[in-house]
Amino acid sequence: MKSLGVLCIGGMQTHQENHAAGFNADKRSHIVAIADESDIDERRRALNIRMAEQYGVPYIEGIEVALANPAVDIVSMCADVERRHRVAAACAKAGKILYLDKPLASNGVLAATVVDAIAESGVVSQMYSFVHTPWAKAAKACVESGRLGKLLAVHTDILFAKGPGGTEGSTGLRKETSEPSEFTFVESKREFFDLGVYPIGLCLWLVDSEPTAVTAVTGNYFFEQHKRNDTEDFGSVAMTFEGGTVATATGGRIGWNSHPAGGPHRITLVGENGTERFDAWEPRLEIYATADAPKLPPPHPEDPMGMWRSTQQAAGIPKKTTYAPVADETRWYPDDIEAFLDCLEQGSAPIMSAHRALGPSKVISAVYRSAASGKSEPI
Amino acid sequence: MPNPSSRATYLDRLSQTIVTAVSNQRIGIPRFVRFLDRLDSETTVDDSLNSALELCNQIFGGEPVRQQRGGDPDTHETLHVAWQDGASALISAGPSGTNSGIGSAPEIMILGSSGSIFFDGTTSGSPTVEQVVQR
Repeated sequence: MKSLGVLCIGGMQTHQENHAAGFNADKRSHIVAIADESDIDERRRALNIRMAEQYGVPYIEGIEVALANPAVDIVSMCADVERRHRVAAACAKAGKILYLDKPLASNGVLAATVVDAIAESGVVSQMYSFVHTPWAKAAKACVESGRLGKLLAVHTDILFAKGPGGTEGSTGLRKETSEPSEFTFVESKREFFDLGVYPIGLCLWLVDSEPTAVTAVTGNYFFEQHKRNDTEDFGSVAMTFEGGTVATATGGRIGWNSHPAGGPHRITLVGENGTERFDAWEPRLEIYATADAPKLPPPHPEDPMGMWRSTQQAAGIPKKTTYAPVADETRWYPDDIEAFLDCLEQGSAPIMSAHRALGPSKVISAVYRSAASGKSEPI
Repeated sequence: MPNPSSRATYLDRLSQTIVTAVSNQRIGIPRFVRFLDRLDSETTVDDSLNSALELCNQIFGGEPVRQQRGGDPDTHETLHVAWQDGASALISAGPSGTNSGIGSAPEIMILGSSGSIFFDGTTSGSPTVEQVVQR
């Protein structure tokens, strides 16, 4: 396979930091340029230019101009949540292969417009997810083996132990909005929107279906920054599927000190023959010694929650040392991108295509409706 | 844990340990409980959910204001519960089974405003608890 040209939309302090590193590391792809819409704010523009400088490629103002470049085969799309649906649709209409940030769009309706544009153009697409992690693949293999018998339930937790938690000391009660419209803040983000997509995506993939209804709760449990910006730091959902299968998921940011590694990342499968657990940090060594335990340094002013690789490094956030998992979590992003390039090379369909990724977006929209109403909501 | 009394003793001791840790403010304000019970053939789903809910009531200091139930009462059920102050819980119970290899005790995750508690279950330790209780 010839090396495919990758156009990166969005730059530093987005997930493009991970996408670009993955494409740059694989010999089957190379970065052609960084681009974004022409009317973005100066901060975003400066961060995009910084990534162009890092990779020694041009920065292109305007999506149409960038998509007209014949050297572009793939678009790695990390535009801000509020506008990513229209950017993704434009890329699909231009016939570009798409590697998409998660979730697809700010709500299920807009995500459907992305999926429709991709279906119309026939381009290959993949949204970043955890389906290529070794623990998720082990869970899928368990389901497919049939050893648990009929699948009764799937329970998933994807919680990030990042950021200086313990700052929200009042009630955790949150008045949720049924249709959120703002997602992008420097100090916080909607954590169930951004992280809940992982466990929900895993549940739908493992059950191999979409739920019919959900109940959900969101909260302001850990961070005063999230409360100040009216963004949840935690959410939980219970999903009901045709045939009676139940799935539950938690997603959120719980604070750096609340877990000995990157946070609870776990799938529990319940079948009529028993229960099995698949944990990102199992099997592992646990190491205790006289060496000083790593401490969370003062937060980076541009990224107090430790969301981005560049600002984590700049702030000097150390790697926690107690757990030494046998499977290395630093491979999760590269593995997903390698799996995507494998599909392009072999002509096979990505597991987490935009079509499949629409399910989690629809569930997340129902989660906000349920958290706002306090009732079960249909998908 | 082969018999119901052994399981009850074990869970009672486990609950006391958890409530002590929470009331000593080891994790700040308790916010969320994930309780995943793996049942032996002697324990019903309903009994498990009720005892887990009682533990959550102790942790959060009152009765829930919202409770939704899903699944099948004969095999596996999940309760999604919320309290007045915004705390919440997901409580599930299903068969441990012969294939589980991870025993028939619950896994528990409690998230607090400034810390967390994890109990990953165990395949041993029950005899030790019985000795502690008999002392």
